[in-house]
Amino acid sequence: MHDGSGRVVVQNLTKTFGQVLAVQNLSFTVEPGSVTGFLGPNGAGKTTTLRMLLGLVTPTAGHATINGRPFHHLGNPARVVGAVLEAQSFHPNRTARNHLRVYAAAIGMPDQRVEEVLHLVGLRDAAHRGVGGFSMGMRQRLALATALLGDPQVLVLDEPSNGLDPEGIVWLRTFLQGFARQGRTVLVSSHLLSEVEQTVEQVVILSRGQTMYYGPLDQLRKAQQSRVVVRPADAPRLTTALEEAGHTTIEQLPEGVLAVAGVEPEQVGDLALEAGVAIYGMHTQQADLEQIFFQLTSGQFSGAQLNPASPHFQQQLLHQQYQQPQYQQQQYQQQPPPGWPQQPPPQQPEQQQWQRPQDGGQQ
Amino acid sequence: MNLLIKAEYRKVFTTKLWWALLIPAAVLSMAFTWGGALLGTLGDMDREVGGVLPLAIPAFGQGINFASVFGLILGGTAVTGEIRHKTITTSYLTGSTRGAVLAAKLFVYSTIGAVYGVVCMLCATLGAVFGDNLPNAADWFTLAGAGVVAMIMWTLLGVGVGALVGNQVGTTVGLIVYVLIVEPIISAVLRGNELGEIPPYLLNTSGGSMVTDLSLDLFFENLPGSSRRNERAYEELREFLNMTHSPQWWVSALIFIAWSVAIGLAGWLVARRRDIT
Repeated sequence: MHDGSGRVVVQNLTKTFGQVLAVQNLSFTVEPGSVTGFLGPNGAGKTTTLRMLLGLVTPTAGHATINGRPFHHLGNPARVVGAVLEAQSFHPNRTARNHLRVYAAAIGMPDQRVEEVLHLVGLRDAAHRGVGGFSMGMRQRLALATALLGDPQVLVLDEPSNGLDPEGIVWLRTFLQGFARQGRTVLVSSHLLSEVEQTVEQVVILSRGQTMYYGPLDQLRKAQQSRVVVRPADAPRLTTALEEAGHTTIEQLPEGVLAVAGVEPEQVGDLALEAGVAIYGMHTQQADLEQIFFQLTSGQFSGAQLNPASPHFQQQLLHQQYQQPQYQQQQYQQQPPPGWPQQPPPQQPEQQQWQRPQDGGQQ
Repeated sequence: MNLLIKAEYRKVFTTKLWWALLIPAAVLSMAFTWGGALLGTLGDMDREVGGVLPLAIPAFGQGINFASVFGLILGGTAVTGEIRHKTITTSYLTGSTRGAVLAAKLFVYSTIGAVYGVVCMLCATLGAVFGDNLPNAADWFTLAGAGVVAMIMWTLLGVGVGALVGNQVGTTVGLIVYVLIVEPIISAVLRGNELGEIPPYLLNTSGGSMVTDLSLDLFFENLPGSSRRNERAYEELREFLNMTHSPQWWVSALIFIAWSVAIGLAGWLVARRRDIT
C-alpha cells in the first residue's frame, strides 16, 4: 500500500486547460512535522495543483504522490489525507450532522466519530441545522470537520482562512500547529503570506504556475538583507567613501538620504567619521516578508516585458541574495525553473535520499 | 464498496428529493388506474361489449410510462446534484476510486428505482381496487413486474445521462427535449421514409413500448366477447398508435434495458475521467 511517511511529493507537474497553462513543471516536497505554506497570487495555479494532488484533476504531465502513492492508490484515501478545498461543497438542505454521517459511512468510520469532529470544530450546537443557513466561518469549520473524519495523517487546506473571523483564524492556526506537532503533514495554501506567516515553517511560493521558492520561511527571511538608511551632511562624499570601502550597493533616496545594503550601521558610522561627514540620522531597515513575496510573485499579470522565468529577472528580483549552493536541484531528474532558489530544510537530511517512487507513480 | 453504497443511501435519504418525486409518481399511477377502472365500469360500455371493459390495464401501462419520468429525473440528479452542490469533490475524496463511487451510485439509484416501481405499482393496484375493476390477478402482476423493471431502467438511464452531461439543468432539459421532440421527429422521418422498423429500437420508443405493448396484449386478452372481433380491433389500434412494427413487449424490454445499461456504463466511463475543478 503506501509507505506511511506522510510525505507529499509533487514532481514535474504540468496542467494545461485548453490554451491556458495553469501549472508548469512544478516540483516540491512537503515533509511531515511542520506546516507548509503553499503561496501564490490568485490564479497562480495553487488550487489546480492541490486538485491534481488529490486526484480530482488529471495532470497533463508529471505526477503527485502522498505517502509514495498517487491519491487513488491509497486504498481508503480519506484515512490518509483529509482535504478542505472549498467551503461551499455542501447540500444546503442536509444538516451538518447528516453531511458528516454520509462521509463517515464512506470512509468506514463509526458515527461516534461524527460527534467527535463536530465537537472538535465547535459545531455541536449547530449540527442539526441545514448547512444552507451556515455562515462562511461555520462552513469552513464543517469542511475541516469533514477532512478530519478519517483521522488523516496528511491535511491539505485550500485558503482555509477565507471567511473566518479573527478568533477563528487564531483557532485554526493553533489547531494546525498542534496537528503538525504530532508528526503529521499540513499543506495550507493562501494568497497572502501575512495570513499564514505565523503558522507555517516551510513555504512553497508559486507564480504563473511555477515554483519561485521552496524551503524554510526563516531562510527566506534571512536571505533578504537588511539595509542601513543614513542621512549624511554630504551624500556624495559618503557615497565615495563607502564605495572605496567596497560597499557598492547604494541607493539614493530623496533629500540626500542613502540606503546601503550589506553593511552594519557601525561600519557606516566609522566610515563617515573617517571621511569627515556628519550623520544626522541612521537606522537599519529589515525587508519585510510581504515585500519579498510580492517581488517573487509580481508580474504575474503585468510583467509582459519581463519573463519571470529568465535568470536575469530572477537575479534582479533577488538582488543575488540566494547564493546557497544549488546542488539540490540535481536530485530531481528535471529542469527546474531557471534561477530557482532552493535550500534543503536542514532538519530533514533524509530528504536528500528521496527518490522516484519505485512503482513509477502513475500506472 | 459496501461503505460507499451505505454512504450513497445516506445521501439520498438525508434530503427531500426522493419523496418529493415519489409522491407525484405514486399519485399519477393511482390516478391512471382508478380513472381507467371507472371508465371501464361505465354502464353503457357494459352493454356494448357484453361485460366489464378492463380499461384499467392500458391505463396502468400509461400510468407507468408517466410515473417513470420521475424516476428518470431522480436518476438525473444522482451525479449532477453532487456536481451542482460541489459535494462530488468530497465524495471522490472519500472513495477508494472514482469508479467505485460512481458504481455505488448506479447501484443505489437502481435500487431506489425499484422502490419507486414497487410503490407506484401498489398505488396503481389500489387505484384499480377503488375503481372496482381489478382484472385477472396474474395478468395484473405481470404488468406490475414489467412496470418495476421499467422504473429501474429509467432511473438508471437518468444516472447515466446525468453522469455524461454533468449539468443538472442540461440533463433534465436535454432528456425532456429528446423524449418529447427529438425522438418523435426522428421516428416520423424514419416512418415517412419506409424505415418504420427502426423506431422501435429507439430509446424512448422501446422504453414506452415495453409497457404499452404488454398492457395492450393483456387488455385484449381480457376483453369480453368474440376474439375475432377483438383481434381486428387490436390490429387497428396498434396501427393507430404507430406500433405496427413493434416487436413483442419483452423484446422492447430487452432493447430498453440494453439502452439503459449502455448509457449507465458510458456515464460511468466519462464521469470517472472528468476533471473536477
